Amino acid sequence: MAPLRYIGGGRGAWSHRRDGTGPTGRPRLSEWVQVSEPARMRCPRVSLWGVLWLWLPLAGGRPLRPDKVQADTRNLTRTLSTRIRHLQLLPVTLRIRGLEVGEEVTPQTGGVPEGGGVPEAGLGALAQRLPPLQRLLGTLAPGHPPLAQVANDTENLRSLLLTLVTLLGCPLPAVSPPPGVPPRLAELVAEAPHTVAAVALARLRDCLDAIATRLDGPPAC
Amino acid sequence: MERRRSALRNKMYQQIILATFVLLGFLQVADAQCMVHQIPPRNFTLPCMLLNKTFLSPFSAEVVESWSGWRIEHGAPETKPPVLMNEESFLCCLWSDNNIDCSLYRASMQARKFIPSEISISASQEIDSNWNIECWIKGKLDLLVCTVQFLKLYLRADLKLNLLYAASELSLGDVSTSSLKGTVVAVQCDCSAYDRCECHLPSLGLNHTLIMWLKATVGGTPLWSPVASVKPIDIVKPEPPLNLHLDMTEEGQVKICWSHPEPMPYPLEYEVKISASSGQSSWQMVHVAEETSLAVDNTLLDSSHLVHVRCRNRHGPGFWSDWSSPYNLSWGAEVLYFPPKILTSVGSNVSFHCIYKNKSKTVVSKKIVWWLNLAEEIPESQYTLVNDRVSKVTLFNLKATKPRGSFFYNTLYCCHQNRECHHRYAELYVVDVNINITCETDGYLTQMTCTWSANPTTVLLGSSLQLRYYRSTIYCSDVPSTSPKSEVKECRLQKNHSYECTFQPIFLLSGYTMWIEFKHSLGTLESSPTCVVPADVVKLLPPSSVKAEITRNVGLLNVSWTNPIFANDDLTFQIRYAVNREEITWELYEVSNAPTRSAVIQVQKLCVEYVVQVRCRELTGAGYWSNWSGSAHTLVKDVKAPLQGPEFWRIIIEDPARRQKNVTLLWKPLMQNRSLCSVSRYVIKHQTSGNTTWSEYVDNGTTCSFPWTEHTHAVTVLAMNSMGVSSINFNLTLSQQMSTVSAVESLRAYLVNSTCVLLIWTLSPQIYTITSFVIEWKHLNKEEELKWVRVPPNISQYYIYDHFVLVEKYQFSLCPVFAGGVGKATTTDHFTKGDLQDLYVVYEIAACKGGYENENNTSLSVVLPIVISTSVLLLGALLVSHQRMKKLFWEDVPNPKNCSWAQGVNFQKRMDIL
Repeated sequence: MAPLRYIGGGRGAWSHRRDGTGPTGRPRLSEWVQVSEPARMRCPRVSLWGVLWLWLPLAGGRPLRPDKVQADTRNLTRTLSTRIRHLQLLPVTLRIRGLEVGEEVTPQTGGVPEGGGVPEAGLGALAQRLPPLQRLLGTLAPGHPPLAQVANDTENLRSLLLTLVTLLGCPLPAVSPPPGVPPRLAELVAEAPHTVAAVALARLRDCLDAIATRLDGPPAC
Repeated sequence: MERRRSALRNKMYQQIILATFVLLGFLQVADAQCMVHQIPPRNFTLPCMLLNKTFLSPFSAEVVESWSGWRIEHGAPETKPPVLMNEESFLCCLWSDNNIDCSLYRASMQARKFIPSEISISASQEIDSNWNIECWIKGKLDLLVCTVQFLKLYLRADLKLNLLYAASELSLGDVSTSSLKGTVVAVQCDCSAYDRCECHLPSLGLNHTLIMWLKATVGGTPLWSPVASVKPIDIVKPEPPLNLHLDMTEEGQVKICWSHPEPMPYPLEYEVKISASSGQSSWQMVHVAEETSLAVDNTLLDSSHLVHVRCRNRHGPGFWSDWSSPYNLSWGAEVLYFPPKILTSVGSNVSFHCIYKNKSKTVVSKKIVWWLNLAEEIPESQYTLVNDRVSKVTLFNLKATKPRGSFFYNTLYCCHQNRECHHRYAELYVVDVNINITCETDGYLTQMTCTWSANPTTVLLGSSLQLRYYRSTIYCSDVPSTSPKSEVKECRLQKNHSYECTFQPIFLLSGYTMWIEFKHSLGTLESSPTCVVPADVVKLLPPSSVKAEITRNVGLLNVSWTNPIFANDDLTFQIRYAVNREEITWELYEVSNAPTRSAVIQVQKLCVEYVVQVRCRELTGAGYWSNWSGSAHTLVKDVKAPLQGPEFWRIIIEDPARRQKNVTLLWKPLMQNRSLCSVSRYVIKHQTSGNTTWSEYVDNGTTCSFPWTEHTHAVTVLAMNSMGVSSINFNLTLSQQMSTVSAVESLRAYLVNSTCVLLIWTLSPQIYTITSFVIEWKHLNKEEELKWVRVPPNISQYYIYDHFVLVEKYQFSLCPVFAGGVGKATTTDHFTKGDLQDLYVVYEIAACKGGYENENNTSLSVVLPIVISTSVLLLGALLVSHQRMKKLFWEDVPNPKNCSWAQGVNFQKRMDIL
């Protein structure tokens, strides 16, 4: 397991660099807007289509600046890291049996999905690691509002990453993660929700660390 | 031949066997079946069986009784509630075109199958023993009513009629006699009417199968009907249509409209009957309509016609409803508006159509004028002539309807141009749905609270407001628009009549498109949608760990803090600070970007306690200011060494016995703005003519005494605090030689009022330089401390502010202070009476009254009015004295014009009499 690393000095942040793209400076994407049902996990295939629609405004409407999206992505990454740190659910220096990939359970059979830990992974690949964690957190969310908020942030982060990947012309991941939570993992959630939450958050933070590393420099895949 | 006979015999046997089998088969089928009459949605006839004769049924081993005559008895039964029957028995009949065979079936018998079939007319030729029946479900669908009419009225006497029934969810083909076991209910029918009984059954499921039969008792003799069945939904008799009225289409076509009855179990079809009312030819037209309106010829409105409407099941069996109440077209057509009511939003345009009939004559459209609220005639330019009967008016850019009393709408009247209007009007409801939605995301970025408020005066009675929204994946669209995929967000009404809706958890970068939906029975309106990204409307948490201090040596207010969690590094801050007292007056200081999380503020007062608060906001201006942080307080501590030592004076008391003078030094406590900020002790430095120096310290108090033994004795008083001693200090030299030098020629004291005394002095020619004066005063009749003040050497007057009593005695002294020592004091102990003509003194006194010493400022304001008023008085006196002098020296000469003799004499003309 990758060692823990806190990023952003504990301060999640929102950087609103105005570029004249709207009354609040946020980019406006007429055609890109998808109507989503609140607080419901969405099919990744639909999101992918949403990202493909991004080309429509780029072709005919106001262009979306990559540095702007990158700044929002970076800020959301910091916010998520801060949230996770404040949840204080991280006994991750321990090795948890029963959840490790490659042991009793696997991603296919229900292991907690991998987070980051691969610095050379591209933004697209990192974005693809988020949906399983998001769905897992969404499963844990009922009765745990902070986890629901983390799940929502994760969904936003993934959308931003895919947008950035598209804007930068980076290759999109070929394989979408399987939808839903594997049955074995669902059993684990029911059996030991705290453990699953702690490990899932730890892996999400690993993923966030990897994303933050990719975003520190100029816009790049 | 024999073979032929044998074959013929065989064939005959075969036929007999076949016939026997057929007969047996028929008997078996008949044995297992009961025919059930299907009740139609109309009246029908059932035979009744009198069981007064028993015989063996050819197809049953049970006792079967055939029907025949009656006995006549009298009596009226009463309607009773349904009773569950313990033992079911009914006639199980089989009928054909010319015969009907019945057997009494009991529950203990073998189950038989029900077969639906109509009783043919020929089977009930015995018309004297028939019942004429009609069954229907009432329009409210809660009651099944059957009326039973007797064709033989003599049977009416002493009749008791029961209707027995059982309900099943199965269709009739799936129901057998066994299903009736334990489920049969009997209701007693009301036979109080002369020729009929009425049976009421509570409503069962409309799609159930109801199996029923009648059992009557006439003078103790039972009469039975065959079993009948019905699906209640097939015999519904709806309520008649309601609310007939005339309406108009946008094209000016008149139509008769109505409302369908409630409840409505299935789609209805309608029949509209238009007939000439009495006094005219009795023709009528019948139209069938599937909708609740029917276009009619406009010419029908010109004469009196009645309209009736009835309805029935559009696609299946059922009764026609009764005809509705008649509607007179001429009544409704006096004035017609289309639409009769409009609900719209502020700023929109609407149009109304009108047909106006004045005394049974339609007013041509070009003679129609429109009035608003019976008060304002709408300009003709807004009219459109749709055709020769229909006028249209359009209202533009509508303003919100202001409630007038209990009327929440504007009224539009369609009138004749001769200013005659019908009392009916069209209603216009204009609602202000420009509702602003403002959202705020909390500092933890977990919830977004949106608030909106509607003007209570524009919200109509019976209307409702709700916030609808949908979420975009990320960001907002350029032009927010409503969407059918939206959801309703629950909002809470606040005390200030606003609504508050909370989204939690939130999607920080998603666009939430929101609008307010205004729902009313007249329609639905929507406010303009607005899109909010939660990350753009964050109200940050306030800065924490705020600290404030006045820095030493520099003397500045130094404020430091910690940025809030979840905040960006690019923040702008506001610091408010104030002297901590009861009524705090804040001063604001802005810091646009503070990577050090601190700010330095220059403040006027260094030796007071400041209270400091900080708040922050995104540097770009997005979002909201945070709340103010908790207060930080500065500590009052020494910032610097005292700026200067205290002013001091001496009191010399001579001790003749010892031939010694004792000196007491008096000084005034050092103010905070000089001490910065406190004085821990005073240091008195002595230096005598023998060059002897020493110091002494006074920790508490402001006096110090010592003997004056040398010719000269110089004293310096220093103030001291934790930062050091004062660098600028006052000196005083006591000199035996200088103490005899007088410098003041005269000294006068003027009492201005009880709080002010003016001292004026003149100096004699000097050879010594005066460095300052010290004025002393004391109350001679009281044991009071000597009061003193040091004044500069270049003035010759001074206002002393104290409490003075005119009748008391005070002593005022003026001591010149030379560089070489204190000179001789000049003293006065009485007040000089000021002469009013001495303008100089008057103006000086006035200045004292004014409370300030500036000569130039007071001269004009005081001297000028006095000079002017004096001049006016002098002028007046001069005029009066002039008149008196005139009278004194000049005698009055009579006017000759007043004499009688002088009447008619022209004195202007010269007249020589000599």
